[in-house]
Amino acid sequence: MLTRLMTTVITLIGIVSLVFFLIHLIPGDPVEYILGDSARPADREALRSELGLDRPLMAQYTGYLSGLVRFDLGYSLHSKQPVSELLLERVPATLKLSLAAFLLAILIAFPLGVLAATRSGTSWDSGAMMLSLLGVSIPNFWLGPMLILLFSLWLGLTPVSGMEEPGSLILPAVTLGVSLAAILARMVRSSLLEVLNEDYIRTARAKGVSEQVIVWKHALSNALLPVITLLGLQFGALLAGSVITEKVFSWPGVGLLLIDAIQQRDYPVVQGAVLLIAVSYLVVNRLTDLLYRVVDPRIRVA
Amino acid sequence: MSRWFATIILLCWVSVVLLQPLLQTTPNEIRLDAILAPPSADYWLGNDALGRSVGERLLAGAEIALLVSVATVVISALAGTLIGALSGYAGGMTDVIISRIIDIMLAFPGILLAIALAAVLGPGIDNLVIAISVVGWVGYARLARAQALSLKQREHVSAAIALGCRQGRILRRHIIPLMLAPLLVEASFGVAAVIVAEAGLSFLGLGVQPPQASWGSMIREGADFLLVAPHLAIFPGIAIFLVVLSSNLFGDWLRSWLDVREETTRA
Repeated sequence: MLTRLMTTVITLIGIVSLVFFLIHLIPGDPVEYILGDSARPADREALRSELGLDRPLMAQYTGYLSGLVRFDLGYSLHSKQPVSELLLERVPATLKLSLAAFLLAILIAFPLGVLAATRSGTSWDSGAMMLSLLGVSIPNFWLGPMLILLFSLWLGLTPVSGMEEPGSLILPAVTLGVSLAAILARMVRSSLLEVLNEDYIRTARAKGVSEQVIVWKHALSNALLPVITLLGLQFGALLAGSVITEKVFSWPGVGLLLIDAIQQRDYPVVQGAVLLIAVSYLVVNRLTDLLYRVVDPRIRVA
Repeated sequence: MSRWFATIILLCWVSVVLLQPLLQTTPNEIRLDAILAPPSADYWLGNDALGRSVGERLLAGAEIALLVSVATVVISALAGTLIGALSGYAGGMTDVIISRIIDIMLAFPGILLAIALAAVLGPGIDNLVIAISVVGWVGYARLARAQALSLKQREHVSAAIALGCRQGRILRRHIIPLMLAPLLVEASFGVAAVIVAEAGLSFLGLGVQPPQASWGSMIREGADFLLVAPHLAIFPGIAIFLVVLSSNLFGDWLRSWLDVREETTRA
């Protein structure tokens, strides 16, 4: 337990450093990049000291770390607001979108995976797996516009973008959730198939337990274990994927903030947003790890 | 069935790119009389907001996609395999340090790192390849490390050590060749992942720059004209979808043909 905590802390420091050096060690001068070639030297110096770039690298690094501890991520070059404030404003929208996509993926994946596993080898199985393959192969930056075209523009059923109108959550959630649903369905299928071959399932069958109870009660609870790990890992992919989905639907979350900040060359905001997403990803992964231990006593004993 | 479908699509993709010089396409030529024109007999896939031929831009995008995916997969597979094999074979401190780096990279959502890198490096094809490779090598390294760990226990390696082979030769001749099968499968899924990454970054405006055509940037430009000219966004998406689907199918087939356990990651 303690070593796990230690590795998490080390990884966290690694991520923080990676994000810092990403911005600071890249060839080229950010000031030049932000102001352009025609800027006056005095303006460059002013921005340089505003960004703290005139200090030695290690001093910048320790300053950055001590700021992080106080949740001080610096100020936006564009709006002059604190980065932490900007991020906090956007977190609820991203969470709402990710959770909706997550739930949707689970609702699609479980019935599909169970259907495929219980009828393995039939055309139901290959159909479900074909569907899953289609799901992972459709890029979300294309699926989004196509859904807008079909449901918003042609059928007029849903809003095109934003999050104010009712029903605005539907298309973004579908766009973001489809690939997760596809991956998850495959995982549920293979995990359930493995469990269905075990001895205790045969025993249950021999005792005359109905197939329904066997699948949904005996088998699925054990088949869920590896799926949980995957869910944790995939939630991170969801957070990262939301960057593109938010851009497609102008969904005002952290991802859209990141993309806008990149276009405005607002480095403190870019740094803060990348850090926030990466740290949430790590935390979710480690929580899943813990959950896994709670659900499966075999791991705790081993 | 699906194997043939995948092979045909992938062959079409490669041959279209190779034959392009013969076709004398002009993907960047602006035709003011054909702005947002729907598909016609002259331009099968229609024209975009500047009257450029969507079909010819699709071919130009195919070249970018092939170029970026081959370069990125080769670079990240080579680097990842070498680093991973070295780590697993050498053991000790080398392994601890490299494993920790791999863990940190894996703890970072890949596309996010690529977005951040592409943003900092600036747009352009070479920077695109760098950004996706920096993210991509980790998967190969993890795989190669696991393989090297188990392979170095094999008897033929002990025999080679007993015969006095040098470390580099053992790694090169006795370990790396045996780990090629799973790496090949990973590379096949890698092509799909890189195409999605390239198109995604170009969609966000971080990849290929105008006027050059990329499937991703074509979708982005098309998204502004969805109602009046849906063909702009539809066709490049179909191209991406077909190629990605085929690479995934091909990887699936390769995995079962080479009899590799399902431990590689899908795009």
